[in-house]
Amino acid sequence: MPTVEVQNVTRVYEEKGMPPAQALRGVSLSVEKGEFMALAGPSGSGKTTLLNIIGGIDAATSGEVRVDGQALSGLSRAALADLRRDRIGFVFQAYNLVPVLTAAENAEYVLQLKGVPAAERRARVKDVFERMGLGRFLDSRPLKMSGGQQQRVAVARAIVADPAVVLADEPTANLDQRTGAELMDLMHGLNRERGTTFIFSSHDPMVLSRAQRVVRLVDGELERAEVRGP
Amino acid sequence: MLLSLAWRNVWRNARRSLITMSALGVGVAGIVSIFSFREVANEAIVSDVTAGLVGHLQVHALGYQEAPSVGLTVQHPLQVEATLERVLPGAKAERRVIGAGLAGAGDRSAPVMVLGLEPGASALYTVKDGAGLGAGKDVLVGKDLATDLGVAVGGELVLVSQAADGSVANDRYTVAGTFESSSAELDGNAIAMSLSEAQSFFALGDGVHQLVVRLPTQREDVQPEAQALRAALDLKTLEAVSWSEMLPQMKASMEQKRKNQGFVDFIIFLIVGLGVFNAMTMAVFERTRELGVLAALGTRPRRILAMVMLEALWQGAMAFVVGVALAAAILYALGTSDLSKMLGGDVMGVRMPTHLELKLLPASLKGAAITAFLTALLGALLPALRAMRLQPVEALRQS
Ligand SMILES: Nc1ncnc2c1ncn2[C@@H]1O[C@H](COP(=O)(O)OP(=O)(O)O)[C@@H](O)[C@H]1O
Ligand SMILES: [Mg+2]
Repeated sequence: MPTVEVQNVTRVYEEKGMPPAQALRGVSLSVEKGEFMALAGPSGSGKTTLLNIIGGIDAATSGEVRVDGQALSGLSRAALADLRRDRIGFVFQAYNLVPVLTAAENAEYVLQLKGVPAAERRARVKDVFERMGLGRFLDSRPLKMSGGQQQRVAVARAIVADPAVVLADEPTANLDQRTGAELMDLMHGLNRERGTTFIFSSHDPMVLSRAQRVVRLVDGELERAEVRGP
Repeated sequence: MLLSLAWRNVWRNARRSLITMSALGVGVAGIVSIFSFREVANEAIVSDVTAGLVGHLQVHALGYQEAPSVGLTVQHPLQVEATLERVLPGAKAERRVIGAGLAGAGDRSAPVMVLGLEPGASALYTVKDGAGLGAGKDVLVGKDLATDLGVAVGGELVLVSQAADGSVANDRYTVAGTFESSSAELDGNAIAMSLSEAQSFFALGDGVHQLVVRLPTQREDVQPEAQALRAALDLKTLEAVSWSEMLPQMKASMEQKRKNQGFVDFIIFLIVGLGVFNAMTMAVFERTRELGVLAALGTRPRRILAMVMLEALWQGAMAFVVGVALAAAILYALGTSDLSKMLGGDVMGVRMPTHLELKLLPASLKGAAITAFLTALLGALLPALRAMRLQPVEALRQS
């Protein structure tokens, strides 16, 4: 069973006073467990829309998405929230850490939603932080950290609860080349060590070059030819 | 973590939260102090009423309350007292005769109220000049009446009235002393004599007009005791009435004041609630993106609602503590309140208290808690619902 299965998904944005915008036009895609996959494509091609639909924070206009075999259509808001908590990790372009929580608390948040006891939460976060070179930032407030450090914490938050898939929408777009490359190395390391499935979007050749597999979106459609990396 | 997250969110915009909490706190303080002030005054009034002329309850001959007349007496007061002690343990009864008459001293005269009191039992008055109430032909005269009649201790006066049997009652008395009471009406109109002397003056035999009952309670509502007493009395010949039935306007005015406070509370509630609404709407608006992040991470909508409500509740809790402390400070700083300029004189024969020992009444905390917590909750409800209903993608798009 694929970890993520996208079947003929369309997404039409309808806004008052605007012609309907076709962001996705029948996208089908299958992602296996442990993949390190990139979603390429120019700005406006539908990368964010597709990741949002896979992550259950946006809904397809038609078609179906399954995560770990669970179909997303027809789920209530609470059920979708539970699905995200249990199976999805998000990394956003703008880090989006909660500023009133420390770095460790940000990562603990999802574990806490899952009802993991405090001591175990702390231990798991500490472990992940140390592996990611964040050991000394456990009790730092996000706004006192650099962009690269914040994004590492965001990655830690996304993986710590061992989701089925981590969705990272242009995770390096706010970082300089070197920091971006380091973040990609880190994510790739986690992918290899923990077997975490990653889908990340980018239009940066450096980022795309790290991917095991690249699928390209153009104008809401997947290009036939896929690039398979090492 | 929800509690601690909500707590930290309170302090993100400390200035705004402090303003909200100040408004809530002042509202709480206002409600607590107005409530305490009013109820301390009510307690003082009730305690004056029940300790004085009226008592908690009275037993009369049937119909006396409606139309008092010298011939309507409780025939066997000691029997009634025995019943009373059985039904209402701890209650104290005082037999009383009350009649009207004309008093003359020298060339002056005045219509008077004649009180027949059990010597030593009555808390109605304190002796101002002269001796206390004895048996026989010694009487005490209200201090203002004594001035009007021009009599002093040792002087003489003549009383004329009609006895229960229709004959003319008259006799000559010696002024043993003057008294003052909690009632200007008594001070200006009353003559007190021993119960037995009054019974023989009005030809009542053993009969009395009133059995004044004082209960071992501070409660304002003594209807349960009145009911219990009625159940044990022969209601074909006797009646039992509570102080609030004897002074219905006084009870009504207390209730009216409470209702007025209800209105004031509601206005405070409304203003403060709008403040909370405003602050929480701003907070949710500013944090839209973050709420979207929390939703994306898998926070259920209800938990988001709870988080916003908790943020307001924290502020309500702090405002409650600060407001109660502020009210206590105000009440105890004032200490005693001199009401003589506001509330001078008598109302319905009862002198209004002129000095109040102010204190914070625990009962006021209920209203204060309702204001603090319910206002916080209701004020935050709409913003919290808005936060709950945010679509994560749209929230994330906000910058
Ligand atoms: N909320 C929206 N309302 C209307 N159109 C939108 C909205 N979000 C995205 N679109 C449109 O959908 C298309 C795909 O957008 P997006 O998924 O953000 O692409 P990408 O992430 O590849 O830049 C674009 O044409 C964009 O203008
Ligand atoms: Mg995008």
